[in-house]
Amino acid sequence: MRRIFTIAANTFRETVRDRVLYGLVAFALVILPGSRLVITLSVGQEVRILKDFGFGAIALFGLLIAVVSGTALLFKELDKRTIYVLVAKPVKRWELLVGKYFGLLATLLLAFLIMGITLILTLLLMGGKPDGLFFLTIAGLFGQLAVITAVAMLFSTLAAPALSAVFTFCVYIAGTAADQLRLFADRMPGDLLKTAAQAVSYVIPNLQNFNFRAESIYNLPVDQSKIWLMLAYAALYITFALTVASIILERKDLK
Amino acid sequence: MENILEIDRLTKRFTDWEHFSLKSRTILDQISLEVKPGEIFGFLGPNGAGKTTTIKALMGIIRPSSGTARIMGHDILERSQEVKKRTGFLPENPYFYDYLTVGEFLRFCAALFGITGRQARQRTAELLELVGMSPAAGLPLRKCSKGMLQRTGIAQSLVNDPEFLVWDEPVSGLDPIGRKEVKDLMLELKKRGKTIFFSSHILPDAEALCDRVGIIVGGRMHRVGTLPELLKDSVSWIEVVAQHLPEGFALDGAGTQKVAGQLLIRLEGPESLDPALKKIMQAGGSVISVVPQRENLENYFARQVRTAKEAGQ
Repeated sequence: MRRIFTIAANTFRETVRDRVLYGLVAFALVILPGSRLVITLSVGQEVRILKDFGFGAIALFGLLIAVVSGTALLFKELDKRTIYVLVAKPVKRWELLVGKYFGLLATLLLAFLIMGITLILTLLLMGGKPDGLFFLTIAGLFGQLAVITAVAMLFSTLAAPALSAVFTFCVYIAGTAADQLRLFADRMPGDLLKTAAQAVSYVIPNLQNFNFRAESIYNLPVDQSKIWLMLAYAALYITFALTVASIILERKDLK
Repeated sequence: MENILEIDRLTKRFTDWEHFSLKSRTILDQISLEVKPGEIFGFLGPNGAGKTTTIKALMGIIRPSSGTARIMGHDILERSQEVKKRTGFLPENPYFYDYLTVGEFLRFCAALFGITGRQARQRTAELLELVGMSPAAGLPLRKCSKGMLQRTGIAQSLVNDPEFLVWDEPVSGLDPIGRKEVKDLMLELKKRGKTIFFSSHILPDAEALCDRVGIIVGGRMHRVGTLPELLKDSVSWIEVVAQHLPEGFALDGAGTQKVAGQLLIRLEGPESLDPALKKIMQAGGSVISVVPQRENLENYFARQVRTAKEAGQ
């Protein structure tokens, strides 16, 4: 546990010093002038549109951090051979992977804090105010990206960063439309094709479990069981992805 | 006391998946050697001989295809955590995290062994002092020269006060002063009871430091032994000094030179010694000294590599 924490703290330091936060400054610069544009275009709907725009922007910037850092962290260790020093110390490879995952998650959390505060300030400036659903939506977006970060790390044990990033991005797109994907799989012709499509649709993370954007924007009630489902699903999927990644990394020759 | 390191028929084959080839290349072919406690063991070989691959296998960076290795009695695969707690490793051409300072990096390494807080700061200061890097504690690693990175690498390998050190090319990339300092440090660590296994292709350094050496060529162990053992059969020539010899005295196949009234005779090989001494006596001369001139490690090494290559290894 101590070693995981040490690696996580170091990864956090790495990602924060790696100019990731500069992207967040760019986010703040986009969202504030963006909100003024929104006001002129949508009379009477300012707060709703701003929320939608803000959630979308947080999801996009968070996704960029998760995919870029998630796919590059392990590769950089291998490419620059810094991993040799770690592996030669009493650190298990799965501890290395889990430590890196939590370090990146901490960076993502910091990014969400900065972006969330920026969005709240903009919302307050426009006469709106954040409610419980607002925070639940942000938490849902964070849950999505926690899952996607684990997927990015899994791919990074198999392929170079560019390819891993493409795969991860595809999984994200498919995951945000997972319910439709399952419907599509159910309607496939032929048993074999149907079974294969269903299997793929269940392996891809269902990111719709984390989506509360409509509820937040239109003030719809949220079933509490959906929150528990989100938490359980995230924990299970992250454990699954990191376990597979650890098994792959364990068997890998670190040339 | 048991050996610190025991390698038994260690083999490593790589399959070239990246080029879609199913052919495997044997990089290490049944390597066996032992390292005794308290000794400095030089693992020597030309580039591409398999030195770094052997070290990577010992440190758990790659998995051996077959064979075993034990460090301090523990199997490197089954008891890897035990092994790593008591071993210090310096990789070849070390490269560390750009975004950390020298001090931060050493504290990070210390934390991986559970050394934190004041203890970690104290240990870091001691190590920086030991490798002559104290003024550079706050320097970002990306600004360090190659020599500074090497010293930082040595410091991190000592952070857990290990009994056994595995150093891959510790003196490569260092200037003469840096090399001397590292060699002095190795002798100092030996005095403190550490066992050092290091790879090198800088043979005069190895000759000056090693209790024993192993020579690896083409992935196979060629020779293992102490320097006197390895060099005992490698008499290059015999230098005989004689006097009271008549003018124009000569020996077939031997070079002669007159120095201060004495004759310096260079005999090629031990087999020519007896006939030469007999001839000197017969000519009324007297022998002052007979000194066999042994090959140095560098020449011996070059000869062994040549022999191995001729034998198709």
